[in-house]
Amino acid sequence: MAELDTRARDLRFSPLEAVSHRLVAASATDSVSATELPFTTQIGLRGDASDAAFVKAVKAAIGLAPPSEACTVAVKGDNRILWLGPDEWLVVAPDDVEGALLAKLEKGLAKLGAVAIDLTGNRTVIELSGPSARAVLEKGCYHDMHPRAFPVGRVVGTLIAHTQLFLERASDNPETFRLYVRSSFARHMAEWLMDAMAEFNESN
Amino acid sequence: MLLIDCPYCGERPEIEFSYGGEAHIARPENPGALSDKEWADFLFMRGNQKGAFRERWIHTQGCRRWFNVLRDTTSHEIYAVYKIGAPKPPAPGEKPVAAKKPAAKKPAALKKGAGK
Amino acid sequence: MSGSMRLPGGGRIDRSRPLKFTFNGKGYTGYEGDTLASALIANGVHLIARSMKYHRPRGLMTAGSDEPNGMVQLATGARTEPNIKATQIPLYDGLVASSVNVFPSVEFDISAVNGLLSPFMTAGFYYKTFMPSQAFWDKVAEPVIRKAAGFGKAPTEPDPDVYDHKYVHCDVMVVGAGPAGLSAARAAAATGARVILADEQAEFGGSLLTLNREIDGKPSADWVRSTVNELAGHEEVTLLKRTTVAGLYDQNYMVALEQRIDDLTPSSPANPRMRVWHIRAKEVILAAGSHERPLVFADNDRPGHHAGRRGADLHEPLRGAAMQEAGCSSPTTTGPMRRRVPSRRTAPM
Ligand SMILES: [Zn+2]
Repeated sequence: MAELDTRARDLRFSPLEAVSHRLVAASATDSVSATELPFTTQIGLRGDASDAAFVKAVKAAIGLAPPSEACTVAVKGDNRILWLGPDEWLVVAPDDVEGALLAKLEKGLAKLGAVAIDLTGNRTVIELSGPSARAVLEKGCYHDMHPRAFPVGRVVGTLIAHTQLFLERASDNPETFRLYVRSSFARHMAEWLMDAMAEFNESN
Repeated sequence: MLLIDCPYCGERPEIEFSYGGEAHIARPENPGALSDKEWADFLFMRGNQKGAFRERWIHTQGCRRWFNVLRDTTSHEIYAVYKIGAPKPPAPGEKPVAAKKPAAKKPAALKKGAGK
Repeated sequence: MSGSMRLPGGGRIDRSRPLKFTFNGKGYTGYEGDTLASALIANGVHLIARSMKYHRPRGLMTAGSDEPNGMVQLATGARTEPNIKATQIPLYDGLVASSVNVFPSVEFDISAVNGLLSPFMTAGFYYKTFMPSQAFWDKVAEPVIRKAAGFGKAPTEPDPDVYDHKYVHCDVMVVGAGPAGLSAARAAAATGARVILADEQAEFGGSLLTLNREIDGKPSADWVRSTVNELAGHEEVTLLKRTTVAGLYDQNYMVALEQRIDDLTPSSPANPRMRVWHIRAKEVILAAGSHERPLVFADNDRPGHHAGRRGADLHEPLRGAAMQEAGCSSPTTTGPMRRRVPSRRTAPM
């Protein structure tokens, strides 16, 4: 089994692997850079945040309670839980081919009216960082991303370049956004980002 | 482009939402008991009000939840936004809806445009 | 009479920087700071265009976006643009422009004959009257009408320029940077609000660019300069020059066009030629000033008549020419200012 997992890890490729070198080239500026954070583990959670047993079970597995406040992210170390809806969350954690985290969650939630489902591979993560990151996204996003309206720790489901994604402000120093984009739209999003970033690349 | 105050996520641009037509049209409890005309009324006949109108929207690109909007169909002014199942906020000039109204108990014999 | 109408001093032009330009194939000279309109008038060119239907001669009426007559075909080749207002074109060296809707020339226009026939062609006269037979239509009427109809020519080559758009939000959007707009923006900025100030002119100041008044004990030009400097110092203030706010929609949603390159400088991703701004504001202040309505009298559209206040701004370079001013607004230092309703409510436009 372990051998199979190792082989699976060697063979897989992330949605933006093919354009990673171009992302690097487009990021050759102090203003803004884009990188893919490939192979994160993603687990969809459905449950009742007011049910103490549900919260306890999630906490036991991930070390974090699902945030009950709308449009917020709970972060601890490399694990985060994104609020997606009043009874829906997305767990994002480091690469976990063995599925240990999912197994742990499933076990904890087994007897509750709650669900954990493996969504790894549904979305990839693009991190956009730098003093011009917001200006890049403003070319294709109707959401107000000013830090007063969208501070660190916030996540929204919205559209960028006509493509649905979850957008999280991950840091202010430097300004960093995480774009959780469906894998099948990732290439489109990367191409759009590279085009939008061109304004800030001095070589253009 | 409208700015719609999702009851879960707050004010968001219209482009994130999808429209769901007139609100408060209860599905008949016993469709089999309906005549063809009653069934057609349920399926197709809508109030199509000019002015304050109760309608359903879904925050498709955000939290993916349905909710109700009380919107003026002539001015686009949004008077109120409320969750599914929540009491109806009154339209301008309308008396507040009494809290103790019997909920559609009997096989909602097709009160067309229950939102009126 | 090139240059003969120009005053020796004054105005907003730099007389040490002459610029060459071509209008309807003839070469002229203007100065840095001129618009195409003011440069044409300084060169004694008053007949700019012809009207749409009867091809009546048309001259410049105003000094800005309210110009009803002075529409020209700007530039050539892939960069040509039809129906740009001469009053809104900053002059640059090598500018080429021509009249639209004329054949063979603006001075002698064949279709002006329509004007003589006008008693027989009532308002709403329909071109299909020219269809006695299909053959006559195909061979004669249609080609002639096609030549006479329409305004300007669309470019036939691909546009070589780079354009951009963005979506932004603010607490206070101020449209117009005259004394009212500048004051409003300054007051809003002082509270730390996110402010966007847009003005269609290349310089902020509005009416103060041509009216010399005293504000806060200073000449108005100094007041404009210090106010703009103060605004530029606020981190949350965005200043947009050469930006026309074209529409105000539901819940304070606006669309504005920023003209970033006016001359033939090539654009690039790092320096787009134009940018469309989609703006959502909590509050909107309309300080766009007033537009005059022309007085109604026979031949009020002929070259030489112009609106009072705005026409006078434009005709500043003129010397001794007989001018007919016909407007119905009095000069004011502060244009009308209107505050928009809060964002939740919607006022139909
Ligand atoms: Zn929502």
